[in-house]
Amino acid sequence: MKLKLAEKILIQLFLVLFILLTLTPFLWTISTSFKDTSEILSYPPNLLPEHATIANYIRVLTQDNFLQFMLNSTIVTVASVAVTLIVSMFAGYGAARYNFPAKGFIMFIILAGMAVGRFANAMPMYFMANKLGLLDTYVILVFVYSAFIIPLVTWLMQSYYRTIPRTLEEAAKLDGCNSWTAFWKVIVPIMKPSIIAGGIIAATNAWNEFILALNLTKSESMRTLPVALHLFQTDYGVEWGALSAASVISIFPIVAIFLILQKYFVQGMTAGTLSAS
Amino acid sequence: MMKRKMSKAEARRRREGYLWIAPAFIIVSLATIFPLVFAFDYSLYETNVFTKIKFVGLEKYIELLKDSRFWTDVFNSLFFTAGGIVIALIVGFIIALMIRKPGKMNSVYRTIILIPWVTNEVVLALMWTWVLNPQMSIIYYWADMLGFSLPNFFEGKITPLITITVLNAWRSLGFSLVMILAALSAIPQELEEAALVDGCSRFQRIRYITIPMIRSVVLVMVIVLTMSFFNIVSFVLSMTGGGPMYTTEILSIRLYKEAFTFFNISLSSALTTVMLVLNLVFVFIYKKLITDEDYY
Repeated sequence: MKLKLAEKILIQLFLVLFILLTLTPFLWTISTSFKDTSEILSYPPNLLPEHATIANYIRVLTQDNFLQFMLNSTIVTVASVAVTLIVSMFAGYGAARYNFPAKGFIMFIILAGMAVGRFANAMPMYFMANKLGLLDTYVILVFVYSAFIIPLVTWLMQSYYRTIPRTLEEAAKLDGCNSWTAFWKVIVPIMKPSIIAGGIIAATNAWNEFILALNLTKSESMRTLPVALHLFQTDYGVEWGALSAASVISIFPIVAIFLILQKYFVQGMTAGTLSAS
Repeated sequence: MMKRKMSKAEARRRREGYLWIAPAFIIVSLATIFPLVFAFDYSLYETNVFTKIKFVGLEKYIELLKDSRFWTDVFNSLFFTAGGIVIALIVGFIIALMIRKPGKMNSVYRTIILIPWVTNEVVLALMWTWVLNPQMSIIYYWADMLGFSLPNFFEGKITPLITITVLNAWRSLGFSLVMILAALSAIPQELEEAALVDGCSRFQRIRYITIPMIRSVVLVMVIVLTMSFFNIVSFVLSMTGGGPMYTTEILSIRLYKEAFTFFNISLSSALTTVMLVLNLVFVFIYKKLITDEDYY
């Protein structure tokens, strides 16, 4: 397959333009976060800040419990990832390796969870949390975040298990392991790519979730980052410097983790979809 | 048929199977079956916040069907979902063909295109409202300098809807790109080489080899994107809030307003039920497509 040189150049040109377009909002936001208010409001706008300042970052980090919001997001994200991974690894394993009555039906209910829109549930969940006294707690957030991402991760896991030969567990059992110890000693270690892929899906989901967090928490000390950002938007209106600094801070951790683990993520996702096809 | 009698070991294995799946089943069904029952139940009553006042049967649904704003919402939702998927698919496919060869630059491109997909929807929405703000954004300034004026993308009858549809497709492009790249890498090399030897043109190869070979992965992708686009709230809510007027009000935004701004629980329950039914219809159609797929 030889492409002509002119065509190669055109393709590269297109790709570079597309990448620039994709990065535009990010770069513009980062640039804004280093400008002072008068420069942000001045016309014509500058591409790069003329007098770069970190005042916006200092302001965001020192005021309004922003660190508390970050801590909340972190707690909820870590707990959701842990619950999602453990539960989905079990369920995927059961689905891939065992046969029992009504297995098809049970798996259908679990996978149908993907179809029940997360948001369609916000109001019933509010009611349930209210009744159980779980409104405004980490518990309800971790519960809903896990519940809505478990179906996808379970599906990913079970298709990955199918690529692992059964002989591995059988050998472990001959060595005196039971199903439980064989699972942890033999299976889990080779699941690394799909554990990471599932973990990233669960983490981005929990870290970025907004609507449920907005409606299932009430007090300021329970806010997660997306909720805080949304309320910033209404509270501070045109204070774009602070808002853009807060935006940069809030996307930084998840994007960094994603970039570091990207290789495994693509591997895990790929193995999952290809065996499903 | 096998003999009905089970050995002890078999019975134990069955029990073990249930144990592995039980936690997921309990958590997920709590979060899906309860809301389904709840929403359908409340949709049949006149309510004051969460207090049922009087049984009205299907009146709320009839009210919805007669409401022209509801049909606007349905149209907007379908446009937003279908339009977004078509764009994400076609652009994803074209870019995947361009960067499928392994290489340093290609993986840099892929990584950058994936970034929006892991970024918070609220932040993405904020960023775009800044970039597309005619008063503040450098883009409008540059366009001015070059001698043409950009329209305001959040004004007009249909423009705002197109804007949010395109931006949302852009947000999810990384996901469709990774899925399509994965599918492309699974196509056996010999197949394409054979076609080349047989003298197929590039478009024939794409039409008769590439597209059929990636169809089933694309279907899985379309399911995930349908669920994600049809039920999206944060991105649209933060960007336009459904406005101006109702031009970008999709069903989920309407539901959000009825439930959490007006606390109109019975109407929002009816809307929830309608949305859940539509979700299930989508899943049903796609599932049928996938199983047909297996036999070709």
